[in-house]
Amino acid sequence: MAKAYDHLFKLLLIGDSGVGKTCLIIRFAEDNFNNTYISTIGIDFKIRTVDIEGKKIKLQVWDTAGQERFKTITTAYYRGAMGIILVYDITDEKSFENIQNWMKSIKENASAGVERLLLGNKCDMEAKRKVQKEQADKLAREHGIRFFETSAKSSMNVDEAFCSLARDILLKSGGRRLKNNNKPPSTDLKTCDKKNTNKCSLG
Amino acid sequence: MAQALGEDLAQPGELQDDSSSLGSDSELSGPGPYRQADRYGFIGGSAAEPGPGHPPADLIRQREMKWVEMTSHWEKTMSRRYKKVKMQCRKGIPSALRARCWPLLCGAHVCQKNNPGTYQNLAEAPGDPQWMETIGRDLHRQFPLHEMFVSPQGHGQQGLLQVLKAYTLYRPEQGYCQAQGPVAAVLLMHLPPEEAFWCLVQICEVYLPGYYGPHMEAVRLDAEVFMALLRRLLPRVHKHLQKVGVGPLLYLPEWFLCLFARSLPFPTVLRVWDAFLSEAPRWMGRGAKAQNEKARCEAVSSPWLLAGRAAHKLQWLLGPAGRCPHVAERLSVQAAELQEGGRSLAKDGFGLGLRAGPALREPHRPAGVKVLFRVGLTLVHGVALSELELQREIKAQLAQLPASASEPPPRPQARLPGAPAIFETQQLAGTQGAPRPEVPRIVIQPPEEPQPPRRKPQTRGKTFHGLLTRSRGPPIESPARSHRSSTSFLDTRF
Repeated sequence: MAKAYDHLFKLLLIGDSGVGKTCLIIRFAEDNFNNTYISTIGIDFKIRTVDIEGKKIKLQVWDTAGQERFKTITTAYYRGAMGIILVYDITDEKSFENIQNWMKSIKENASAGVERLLLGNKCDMEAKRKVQKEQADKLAREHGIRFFETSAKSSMNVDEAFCSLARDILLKSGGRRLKNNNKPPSTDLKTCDKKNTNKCSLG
Repeated sequence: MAQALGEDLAQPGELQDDSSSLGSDSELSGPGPYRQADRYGFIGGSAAEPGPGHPPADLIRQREMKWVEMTSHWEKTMSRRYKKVKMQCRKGIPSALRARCWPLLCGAHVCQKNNPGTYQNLAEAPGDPQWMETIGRDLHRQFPLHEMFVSPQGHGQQGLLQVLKAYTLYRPEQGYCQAQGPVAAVLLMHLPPEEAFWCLVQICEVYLPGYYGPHMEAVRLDAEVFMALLRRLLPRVHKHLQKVGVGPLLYLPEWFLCLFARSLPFPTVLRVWDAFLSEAPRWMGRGAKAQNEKARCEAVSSPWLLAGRAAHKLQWLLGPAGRCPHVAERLSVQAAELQEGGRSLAKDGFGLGLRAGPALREPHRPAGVKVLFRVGLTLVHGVALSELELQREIKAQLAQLPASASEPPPRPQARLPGAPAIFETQQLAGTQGAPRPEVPRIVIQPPEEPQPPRRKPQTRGKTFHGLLTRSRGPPIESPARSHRSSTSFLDTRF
C-alpha cells in the first residue's frame, strides 16, 4: 500500500509560557484562531501534511508546556525532534531574553544536527512591541538560524515559518541522499543561498 | 471483588452526575454572543447536555439525606463507618453537597479551623511578582468556556488569582505550577475561595506530594509505576504502546496533574474526584498492617481509571447482545458522554500512538478504541494486585530512577491514602495537641465552633432537657452543669 506521505518530520515548539506556542500550532494545523485557549500541561501534538517541492511531508508538531518546571518532562522529547522552533513574544522582553536558556536546553538535550528556527509571535500587536526585529535578527544570525515574525491571530508568516523549517530538514536529509546518487540538489536558489550564509556565519 | 467494585462504580443510571444544584450565577456580560450554559456552567454545553440519564430525583434526595446524616457527625462516621462513606463516594456525591463533603473528605476543614485568619492574611498580602506574572498569564486559560471563568473581572478568575497567589505565599519553596490552575478552578466551581484554598493545599501536600513542586519528581515516578503495572497486567497494551513509541510522559502528566479535569467529560470528572478525595491513588502503602491483611485491591482501582471502568461497564450493558435493553435508552446520554470521554482518552493517550508512532500506518487506526476498551475490560474483569505487589513495584521503580544531584528523590511514603488516613493523622495531631510534623501550624481553638459534632457531649445533654428552652451559647452558667449531671443520671437510668 502506498504511503500517504513521503516523509514524516517531527517538529517541537518551545518557549516561555504564554508566548503563543499552542496558538501557532492550531493556526498551522487547523487554520483557526480564537481567544479561548487552555494552558498546555505536559505535551500535546498536532499533525498536518504539506507539499514541499513535490513531496508530501507529514509534519508532526509537538507542543510543550512553557513553564520551567515542566522541562523535566518535556526535555525527554527533544531528542526525537528533527526540527525545534523557539518562540518568543514580541511584546514580552523576558520571553526573548529566555531564548538563550532555551537554546541551552536544546544543546543539552536535543540531537546534535537538529534544525532550529526562531519565531517572534504576536506581531499583530505592533503597539505593544518590546522586542525590535533587529535584535532578534541579530540573535538568529549569531546562532545561524532563520527568523520570522509571526502572528497566530492574523496568520502572518505561520505557514511560511513551518514550511521553511520543513524544507530545511528535507534539504538536509534529501541533500545527503541526492549526493549519494550523484545528482545536484534541485532546490530553490533563494532558500539555498540564505541557508548557506547562515551556516557560514556559524563558522 | 474487582467485579463488585466495578458494579458499584457504574450502576445503571448513575454514571451521570445529578443536577440537584444548578451552578453559580452567570457572568456572561463579557464579549461574545450569549449562549446558554449547561448545568455544570459550561457555555455551549459540550461537557454535559441535560438529558434524561441522570438519577431520579427521589434517589438524589435519598442520597442527600444519607450525606447530611453522615456529615452531621463526621468524626463518628469516619472513625466507625468509613466503608459507608467510601461506597457513597463511589456512587457520587450529590451536587448540592459537594461543597460540604469535599473539604471534609480531604481534611481541609480541620486545616481551616486550625489556622483561622491564615487564608485572609495570605489573600490580602502582596504576591511575589514572579509568580503573580505566571499566574496572571494563566487566569484566562482555565476552563475558558465555563461561565464562571469567562470574564477577567468575574469572581472565577479573581478567585483563582487569590487562591493560587495564597498558595505561593503559603509554600514559597513550592511556588506555582501551571497544573494547579485547573485543579483550583474545579475547586472554585464548588467551594468558596478559602475552602478551595485548603482543599488545594491538601491535594498538593497530602494526596500528591511532589507532583507540583519545582522538579515534579513524583509524577515521573508514577508514570514509571503506571507503565510497569501496564506491562504486568496488560502486556499487549504495553507492547503496543512501546511499538508505536508512546511513553507514559506523553499522556500521564495532564491526566494525573489535573486529576483528569481536562481529560474526561465533566460529570465523570466530578465522579472521579469524589472517589479520588475519598480513596486517593492506590500506588502507596498503607504500612505493614495492610500488607498483612493481604487485602486484594485492583491494581488500577485507583480513581485514575475509575472512569475507564465505568465506561466499560456501560459498554457491557449496552452490548450487542442487548443484555439490558431496558436500560439502554436511559443510558444513551451517558453513552455519548463516555464515548466523548473515550475519545479524549484516545486523543490524549492511548490513541496517540496510532497517529504519532513512527512505524504506524493508516490501517491500524481502529486499534486505538480496542486498546482503550481492553484497558476497561481488564479493569472490570478482575485484574487484581495486592498492596504488597504494588509497594514492590513502587520500590522497584524508585530504585531504577536515575539519581540526580539537583533533584530531591520522590517520596511516595509521604502520601496519605485517602480520607481515612488523613482523618486518622489529623485526629492524632489533635489528641496530642501538637501540629502535624510536616505542616507546622498553630492550633488555636476558634471562639465559635462551626462543627456541631464536636459539641456532641453538650448537645446530648440538651436533647433531653434544655434544647427547646435554651439557645446554643457557650454553657458558662452554672445551671447548665447541674442539668448535665442530671442528664448523666438519666442516661444511666435509661
